[in-house]
Amino acid sequence: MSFSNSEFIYIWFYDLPVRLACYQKGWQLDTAVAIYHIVNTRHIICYASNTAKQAGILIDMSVADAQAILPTCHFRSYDDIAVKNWLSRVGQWAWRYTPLTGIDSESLGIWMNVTGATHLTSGIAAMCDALQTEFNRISVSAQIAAAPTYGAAWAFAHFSEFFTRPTLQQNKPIIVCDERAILRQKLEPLPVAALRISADIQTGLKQAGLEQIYQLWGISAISLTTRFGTDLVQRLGQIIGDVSELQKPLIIPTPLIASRNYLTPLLGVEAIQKMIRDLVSLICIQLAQRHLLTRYIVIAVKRVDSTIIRRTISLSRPSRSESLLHRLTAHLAADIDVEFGIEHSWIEAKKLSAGLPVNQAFDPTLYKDDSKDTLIDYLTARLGHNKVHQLQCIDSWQPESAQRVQPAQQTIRQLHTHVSNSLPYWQLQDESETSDNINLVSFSARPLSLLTPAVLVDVIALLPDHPPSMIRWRKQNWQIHQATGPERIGPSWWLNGILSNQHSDKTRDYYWLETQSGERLWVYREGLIERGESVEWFLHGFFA
Amino acid sequence: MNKQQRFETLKNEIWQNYFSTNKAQKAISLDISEIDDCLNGGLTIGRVHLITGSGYSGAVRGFTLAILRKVMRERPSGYIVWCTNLNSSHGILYGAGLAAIGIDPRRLILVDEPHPLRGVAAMEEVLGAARQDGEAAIQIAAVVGDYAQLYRNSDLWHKTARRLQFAAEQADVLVIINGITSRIIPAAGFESYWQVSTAVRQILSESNNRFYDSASWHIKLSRTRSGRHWTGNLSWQFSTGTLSHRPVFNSKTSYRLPTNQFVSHIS
Repeated sequence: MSFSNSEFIYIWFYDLPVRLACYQKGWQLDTAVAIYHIVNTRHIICYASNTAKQAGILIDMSVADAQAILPTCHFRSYDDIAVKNWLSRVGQWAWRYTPLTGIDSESLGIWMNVTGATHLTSGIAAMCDALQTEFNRISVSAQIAAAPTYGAAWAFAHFSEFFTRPTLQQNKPIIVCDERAILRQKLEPLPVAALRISADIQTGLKQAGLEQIYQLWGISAISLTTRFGTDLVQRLGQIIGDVSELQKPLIIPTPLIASRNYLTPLLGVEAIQKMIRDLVSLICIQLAQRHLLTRYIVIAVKRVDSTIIRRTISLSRPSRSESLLHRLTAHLAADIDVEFGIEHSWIEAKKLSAGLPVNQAFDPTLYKDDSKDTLIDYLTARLGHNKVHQLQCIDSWQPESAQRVQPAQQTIRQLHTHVSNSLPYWQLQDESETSDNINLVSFSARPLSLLTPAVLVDVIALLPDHPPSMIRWRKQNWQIHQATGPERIGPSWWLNGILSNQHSDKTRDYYWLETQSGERLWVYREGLIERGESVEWFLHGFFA
Repeated sequence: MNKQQRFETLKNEIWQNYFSTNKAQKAISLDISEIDDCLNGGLTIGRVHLITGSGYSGAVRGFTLAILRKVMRERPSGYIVWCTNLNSSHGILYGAGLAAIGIDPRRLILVDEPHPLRGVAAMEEVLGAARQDGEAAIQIAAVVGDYAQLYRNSDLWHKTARRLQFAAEQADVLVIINGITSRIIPAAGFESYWQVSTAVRQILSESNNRFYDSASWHIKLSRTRSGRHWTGNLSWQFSTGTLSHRPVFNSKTSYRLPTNQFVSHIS
C-alpha cells in the first residue's frame, strides 16, 4: 500500500466503559462512577468518570482506596463483552462510509480505512465532521483522527491533547493527511506510548531518557533493535508508513438469500401462500447444501408500487426444518397487503450457524423433546416476541428476585447454551417422597400468586412482634383465623449500592395467614422492632 | 346439494358432535364420584369450562391448578398455555409456589395479553397450534385464559364461548376460562360452570396443622351437560394431588397464636 494514497480514520471513545455503565444502570453522566478490573485478585480501577477523578480517584488505584476517598462512588466491573458489542455495532454502522472498518476493543476505538472513499463526502475533513456530528448527536464522546497510516491515526486520536484539549461535549477532529515530512514533524512531540508499544519497552525507553518520538528518529534501527527488540522498530516504521500494517476488518455476515421475480403481479392469498412456501423450500435447500442452520428468517415482497413489506420469523434454536418453517410462515400470507400485486419477493436466512450432524448416541437428551420449542416458536411468530413468556427461576432468597418472567425464546436459548443448576425453590414435590417433603414444603411455602411489588396494608397485631390479627386492604377487613411464621429473610446488603431501587435494606419477617373466610395470605413485616426500625406490613401473595 | 339435504347434513353433524355416544370423549376425572357423575365422567377434554370466584384470593387459581395437575398427569408430554395479564393486580403466577404444589413451571407457557378480546384471539391461536393438519402435532395439555370479564357484553360473551368451543373441539384440548367476579355469569356456551370461594380448612389436630399441605374451597358446580348441580367443600392435598370432599366447617372465631415455626434466611 503506497503511503500517499492511504487514508485512515481512528475514532477513540475514551470514556466508553463509564458511559456504558451509566446507560445500563440509568445513572447520570455526572455521577461518580469508577470501572475496575481484576488484576491478581485485586480490584484495580481502570476507568473513572470526570466527577470521580475530580474527587481524587485515580486510575490504577484499588477499589478499597477509592471507596475510602469517595464512599458514594458507584463501582462496576469492566464489561468487556458489552464494550466489544457496542464497538462492533458502531463499526458496522460505519460501513456507510467505507467497507473496511474494524474494532480495537483494547484501546476502545474503531478504525476506518477510507482510502478512495473520501470523495463521497467531499473529502476527509467533511467525513470527519460528519462522523463528529453523528457522535455529538447521540451524546457519545469521541476523538476522531485522520492520518495516512493506521498507527499515526491511532496516535493522534489517543494523544490529541498535544494538539487540542479535549472537552466532554465536543472534540475537534485531528486531520493530518499531509506529506511524509509533515507527518513526521507532527508525530515528533508525541510520547513514545503513541507507538503502541508494551509497558516494558516504555519503561526501558524512559530509563534511557527517551520519552518522545522525535528522540528516536536519530537512533539507528540496529541500536534500537539490540536494546529494545524488533517491536519498537516495527512500530516506528508502521507509524510513518515504511512498514505496512494489516488490520482485521469486520466481516459482513452474508445472509442466504433466495428470490423470485414474477412476470405478472402476484395477487390473491392462495398465490401468496404458494409463493411463501416456495421461498421457504428454496432457502431450506440452500441451508441443507451448505450445512447451515438459521435462527432468523426474513420474508420480503416488493409490490408493484415499489413498496417493500418485510415479515420476520425468529426461532428459539437453529433449524432448517422445512415443515417447521412452513408452519411458522403459514399465517404470513394473510398479513401481507399486496394491493395491486407483487412483482418481486425474496427470503433471507440470518443468524446462521453450522448445522453439523450430531450423533445422538453421545447425548440422547439433546433432541429429546423439541415440541415445546416448536410451540414457542409458533406462538411467538403468531402473537409477537413480547407476548410469550416463561417463568425462570433465579437463585435468590428474595422472593421477588427468585423469579423472572422472560420471553420464552430467550429461556430456550439459555437452556440450549447453559447447563442449568438445580435450584432449591423449584424442586418439584415427588409423590414418592411425600413424608419427607411435607416438612420441606411447609418450611419453604411460597404462594401461587405473587404481588409485585408487594402492597402496603394496614394491620392490627396484638403485640408488635406478633403476626397480625386483622388486615385491612382495599376497603376489605380480613380477620385472621390462624397464622404461622415467621420466616425471616434478610436483605441483600451486598447489592445495596448497585440495586438500591429494587431492594429494601430492611429485614423481613414473613407470615402465612389464614383468614376466617379461608383466604390464605403471605404477608411480611419489614423492619425489626428490636433494632428500632420503623415497621411496615406488606401483602406479598395469595396461596391456593 | 339442495336445502333439505344440507339441513340433514347439518343435523347429522350436530348429532355427531354433541349427542352421539359413539364419539368417545376423554374426560379428566376429579376422583369425586358425585362430581364425576354430574359431569358424565369428569371434565371433558375438547370443551370449555368456566371457573369464577370472588375477591382477592388464590381460590380460582388454586382450583384451576388442581385441575391442571390432573390434566398434566393425563398428558405428561403436554404443555399448559396460560393467557393472562402479567401486570394484573391479582399478582403473577409464582414458580416456586407452583413447584411446591406439583406443577412444573417449565411446562407452563404464559401469554401476556391484557386486552380480553385479544386474549381470546390469542387462545384461539394457541388452540390452532395444537391442530394436527397433517403435520407433527404440538402437544398442548390445556389452555387457560383469565378473560371472564367479557361477560359484561352478553353478545360478545356468547360469541366468545362459541368460538372457543369450536377451537377446543378442533384441537381436542381442555380449555378453562377464569374470572374474578362474585356475580353469577351466563354460562350457556360452556361445558361446565364452577363458582369457587375459599373455605377454612378443618384442622383435626395440632400435628395436622401444617399450613401449606392442603387447600380447601367451597365449590358450586352450577352448570353441567347432565343438568345436575353440586355444591360442597373440596380439599386438595398438595402432596398427592387428590381432591376430596370435606364437610362444611365453621371457622373458630378465636385467634390462634402462631405455631412454633421459625425459619431464617439471613445471609
